[in-house]
Amino acid sequence: MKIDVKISIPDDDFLFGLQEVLKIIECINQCDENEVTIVFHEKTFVTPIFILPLLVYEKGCNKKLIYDNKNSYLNTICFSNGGLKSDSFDSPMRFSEKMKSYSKKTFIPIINFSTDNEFTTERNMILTAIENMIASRLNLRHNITYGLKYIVEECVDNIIEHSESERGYIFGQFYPKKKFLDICIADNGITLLGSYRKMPSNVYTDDLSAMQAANRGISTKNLSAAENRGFGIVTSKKMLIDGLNGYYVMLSGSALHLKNRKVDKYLLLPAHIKWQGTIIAIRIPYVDNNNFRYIDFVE
Amino acid sequence: MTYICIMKSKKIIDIAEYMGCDLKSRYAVRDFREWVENFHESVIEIDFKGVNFATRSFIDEFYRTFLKNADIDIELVNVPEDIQAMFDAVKSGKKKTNSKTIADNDNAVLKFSSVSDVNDYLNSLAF
Repeated sequence: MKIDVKISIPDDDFLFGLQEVLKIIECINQCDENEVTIVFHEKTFVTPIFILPLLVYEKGCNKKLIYDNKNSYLNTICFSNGGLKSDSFDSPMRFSEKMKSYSKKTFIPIINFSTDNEFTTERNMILTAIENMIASRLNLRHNITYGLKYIVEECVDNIIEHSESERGYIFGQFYPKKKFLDICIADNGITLLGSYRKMPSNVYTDDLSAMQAANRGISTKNLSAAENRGFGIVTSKKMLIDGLNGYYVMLSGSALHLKNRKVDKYLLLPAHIKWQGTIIAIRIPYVDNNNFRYIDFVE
Repeated sequence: MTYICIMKSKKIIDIAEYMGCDLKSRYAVRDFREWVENFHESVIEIDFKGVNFATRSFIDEFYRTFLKNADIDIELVNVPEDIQAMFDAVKSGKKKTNSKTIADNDNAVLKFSSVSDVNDYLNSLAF
């Protein structure tokens, strides 16, 4: 079976990309064949909230997905290869040199990073290089840069600490005229529910309740000093939404959470729509935020 | 009268030199602790002068597993204002009851049985 993707996702509509992924997943599910070809046509323009949910879905899909990529943009962001593997470079310096080739672009390629603790130092250096590149490219003020770093780093640390995923992914697109950036961070791990299930006295038995618990700051680490755990998601969201007027979307298993200053919803998706992993998509406006200080949101 | 002054030897560590100017990830703290313990010094001074930024997770891990529990005296110097504020937040350690039930809020939770219904709903949002 072939699925033709000829979409142009308007950048104003943050959720449009997710809607398109849902349609594709629906088609994949309805297909009787074990192999599905997804054809990306040349004029297709997609966003991070399309790309990483599709990538994570593919990794957990029990059907074989083949990409017929006629789209130069998707090649540039390294989509077909599952992203640019940061640990395939000899050193973080070499990786930074590669990233320089993107320094004038309005996106960073999909970065596919190892979650192995052996690569902690390298991973941290690489993430710093990416954040600094974004800040420099967009001429972000320091206060916004620190907010961006905080939100991205807390997401990545959650992947390392909780997901049991071997790989993590980050992808970003920028809109300099509209003064916002979209970043998506994802893993193909055990999901939020999987992480709670590891707790000895776990009470969360479905993706939705696990997602609600995570967003309330209930830590899966059942440690004696755990009162200081569980702040990552809560603080990051407050910083993003209350501080920066941004948008936040979280997907894990069959649960979806949407939050901005006007919307705060949890959705249980149809049972056949399920991600084996967790995806966070954010939109950060960086105009009119002169008074923002990330430290004001740290409880 | 002869006075003998016995001073404990002190190892001074520039944390930014070891970890970079952005402090992040819990695992990096564990690495750092192992490295510091290998010096077998009784007093360690950790200089934060090159640090620009830290996540709460890092500072929490640093405070809880390193500062509170290390068998060595640790002094922190030149801690930037924002980082000190982070330490203060972690030290004050908001006690939360790990409530095992989620309060029902029917307005916040929606269940869907079809993709088209999900997409119709997403289309309707101010997002």
